[in-house]
Amino acid sequence: MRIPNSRTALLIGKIALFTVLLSSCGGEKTTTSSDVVHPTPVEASRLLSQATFGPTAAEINRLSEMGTAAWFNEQFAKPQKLHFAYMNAAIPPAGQDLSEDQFFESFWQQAVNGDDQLRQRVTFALSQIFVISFQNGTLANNPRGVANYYDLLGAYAFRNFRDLLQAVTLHPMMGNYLNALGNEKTAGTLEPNQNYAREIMQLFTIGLRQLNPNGTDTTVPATETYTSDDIRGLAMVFTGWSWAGPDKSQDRFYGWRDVDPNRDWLPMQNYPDFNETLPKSFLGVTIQANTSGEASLKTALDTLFNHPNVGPFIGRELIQRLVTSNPSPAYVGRVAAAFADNGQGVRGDMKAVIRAVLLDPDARTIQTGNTAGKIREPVIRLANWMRAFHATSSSGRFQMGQIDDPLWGLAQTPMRAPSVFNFFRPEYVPPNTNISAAGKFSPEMQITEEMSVTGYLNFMRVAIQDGTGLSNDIKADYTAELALAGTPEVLVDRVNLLLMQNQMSPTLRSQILTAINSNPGNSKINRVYLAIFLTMASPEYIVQK
Amino acid sequence: MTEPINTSRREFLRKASMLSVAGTIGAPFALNLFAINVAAASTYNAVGDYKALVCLYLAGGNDSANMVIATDTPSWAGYQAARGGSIAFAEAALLPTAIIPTTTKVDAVGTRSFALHPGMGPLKVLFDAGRAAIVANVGTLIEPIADKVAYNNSAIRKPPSLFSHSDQTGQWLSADPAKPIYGWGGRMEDRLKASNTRQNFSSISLTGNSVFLAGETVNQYQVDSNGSAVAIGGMSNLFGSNTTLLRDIITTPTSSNVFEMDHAAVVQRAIVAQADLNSVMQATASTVTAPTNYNPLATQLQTVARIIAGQTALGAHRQVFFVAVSGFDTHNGQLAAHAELMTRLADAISYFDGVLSTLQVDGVKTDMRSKVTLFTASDFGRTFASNGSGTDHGWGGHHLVVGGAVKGKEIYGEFPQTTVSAGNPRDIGSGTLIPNLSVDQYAATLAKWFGLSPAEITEVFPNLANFPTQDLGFMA
Repeated sequence: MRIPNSRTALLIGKIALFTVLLSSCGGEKTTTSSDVVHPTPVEASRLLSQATFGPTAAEINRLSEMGTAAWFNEQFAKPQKLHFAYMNAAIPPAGQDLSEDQFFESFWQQAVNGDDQLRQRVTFALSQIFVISFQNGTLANNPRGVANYYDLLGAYAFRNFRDLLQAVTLHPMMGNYLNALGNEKTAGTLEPNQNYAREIMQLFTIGLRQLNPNGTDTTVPATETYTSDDIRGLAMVFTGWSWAGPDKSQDRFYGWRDVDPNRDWLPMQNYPDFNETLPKSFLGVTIQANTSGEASLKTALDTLFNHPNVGPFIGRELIQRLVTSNPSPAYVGRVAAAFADNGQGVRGDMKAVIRAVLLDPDARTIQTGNTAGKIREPVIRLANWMRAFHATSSSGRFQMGQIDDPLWGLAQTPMRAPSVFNFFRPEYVPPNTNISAAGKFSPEMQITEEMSVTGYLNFMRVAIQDGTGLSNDIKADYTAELALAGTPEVLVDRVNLLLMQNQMSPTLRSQILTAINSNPGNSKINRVYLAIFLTMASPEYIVQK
Repeated sequence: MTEPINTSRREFLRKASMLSVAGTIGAPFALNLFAINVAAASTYNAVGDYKALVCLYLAGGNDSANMVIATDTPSWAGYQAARGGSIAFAEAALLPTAIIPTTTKVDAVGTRSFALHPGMGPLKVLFDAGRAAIVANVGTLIEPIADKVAYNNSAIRKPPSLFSHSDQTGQWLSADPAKPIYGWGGRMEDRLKASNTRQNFSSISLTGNSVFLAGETVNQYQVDSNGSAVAIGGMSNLFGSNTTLLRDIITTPTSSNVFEMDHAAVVQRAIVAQADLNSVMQATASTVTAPTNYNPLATQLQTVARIIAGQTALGAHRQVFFVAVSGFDTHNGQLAAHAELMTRLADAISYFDGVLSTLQVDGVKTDMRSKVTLFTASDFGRTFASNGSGTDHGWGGHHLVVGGAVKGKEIYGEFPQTTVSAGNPRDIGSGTLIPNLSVDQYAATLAKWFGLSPAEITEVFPNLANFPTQDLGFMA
């Protein structure tokens, strides 16, 4: 996109760098056969920036070697490592119970070192659509249950959306978060709690407005997808559900006694005594009086799953989390088509949806124009740094803790959204900006403000030099970069490939080189810090394109 | 306190001229800002010509039916029928917080009597002292909706996406359906910003991004709830290099990509405002007493008070603030959770009243209460009917207005019936109440006090003209 003046010289430099990268993993690049697409290192870095927690030199090489299709097949087949298992084995500090901290340890260990990166990145995206949060007191007291919920998103990330929806709905942590758990049938003036009924429609499946298959509104002004009567009817479906256990006693339903030791993660069961007996009407469907809780749920989830909005609604959100804030209607339409039919007549195949999101021409080609791209999420930026520079934790634990304070942290922590509306909304428009003037969305701008930009820069400046996490125990390994520090141009090229997919402008490159060269006697490690920090501080890096 | 401003102004001038020479993308923004500042001084130069509005947001939808309870015999019967056995108070619990408005409310129900939530004793003190008022059954409306019949009449316009947290929050705080990304706090400041030397300190959030504060030209400034004024480090010396390039890199976009430009603009604002905030926070570090009990809302209000105390240094004459408490989405376990929220709310408001009564401004203890008005806002009221242990999303709700300029010890507006039934003309189901007063009427009453002209009020609240009364009379 930005062609430097000394184009030839730079290209030669880059090719030389790629050779270094390739040989570092010990492989010779194989001959490209006609039916396999081998991305260039730059293309590989770009795909990895969208589909993983961040490129590494080794993974850039591997993806270039094996080709995109093989990489996806491999990633879809990688076994999942369970956070739940980590929680069960974890030993909290003396005198303390297990807490969210152990989940964060497991999250960062896997984000940095896990080889199932596609699953992890998609899971993180799903956790920002099907939101539950440690900020809820009950969930904070059930950290193993929340870890299990996160695992469940990971497990169903590569299965069918219908099954994902059911697993989410019946998980006791979601049950607690949005009150389907312990919800009771109508009794006199007491009506069922509407919380889950509303949010499963507004946020998890169909959204507020009737959509065309390409995600645009069907009418102007928009037609609403449901009424308060639909919510009231659907709320009746989410009655009678409560904690799992070997029986259906009243004490177990209310959680007073009969507490099963695994109730924090076993799917909720339906208690007929508390399930609505009246007819349940919503979205043009009526479930007859006295239908069981399980049968009612099946009808409700089938109805939602088959609503034409789900493909464009969920597809657009996944595109926004992984690729770009403002996908074209055609791009959304192609992803929605993959949701509707994976090519074999199956609706809701998540693998087909993920392929459609990441392999679309709009994703694989750098989009030109002033409104292309998205702001990288702060958690993703931190993960980018840890992965690119092989961060290790001397304790082995990666004790990151909460980092959602905007001024002292990164304004975002996995699984700590302030509400079911996530850290930011898909249709957030920052007022009085170039983005709003262009009529575009920028979800991540909702957490981009004076404090959080200050917090990010200070956080990364310290992390890059001293490490991060508890006692700054998480430190990068800059061996490869130190080896290049004698030739700042090559050092910057490497950082550019790893963090910026080679999109650094000549202006920024020249600024960073000037900073490095301003003190000729500066140490090699300081040169490395300057190259990485000034890159990560730049608006060019912060915006993924 | 004048010296830091001059220094900072020189710095700003220097930076502005540097930018104009460089001819970069950042320059017009900075220069406009400077021009605004220069234009300011002539109209509002009187020290002490100051007003602030503080929006206290109850995030999640406050169950105001348990904040202000009608206790007369027919109302009490309806209340117990709808809420008894799960989320209703016992009669005796409400005796200490009974409130008697100066004007006795007599309506179709009869002669009404009232009490505040039992945890709101400190608010009763303010109510009785005439510095707190209640505005009943306020909510989002486009035009008046008289009753259920009107509600079901498709010719009468209803707010879109009723009962949705995100949408109703947006509509409450925007008050302009055509421009939902701007808030009425910010749009008031668009018209009053000339009064403030430091434009960054016109529209201030203590609790993250809020649509309320977003103007069409005014940007909200987000401040740490504790008032920490942290600078971006490494600006003059970075990793062994005596370089100032960090500032150029983070504030000067290298392309016309809108995300890059807008991110750089936020960083530029952060740098400029931090220096001013730091001087104010240092000057007020010991003059505004901290709240005695743990109370995050009171801490936010302490920081608001400190910024108000720094008004002269900031050249501030009209400021809007946004503070918030979350946890109001009480679908279950409401009685205990809501009690804690109500107690903290009353304690924090009382604390704020206290610190404003003797605020040290320019070295002089000053009673600022008649210059500062705090009001509540929330996503929506909740269903009057209990769902067993909580309440669901409703519509209209009661709100609090507090300050020395408030005509307090009154309940404004028609207080709703408490029956959840077909017989209640404003109940559209489960005790979800059609608002009697619109957010626009409530807000415009505050805007008039704040100093907007009638024409400006019409601009900020385009639907206000649909309502017969445009000043609810609760401000002096």
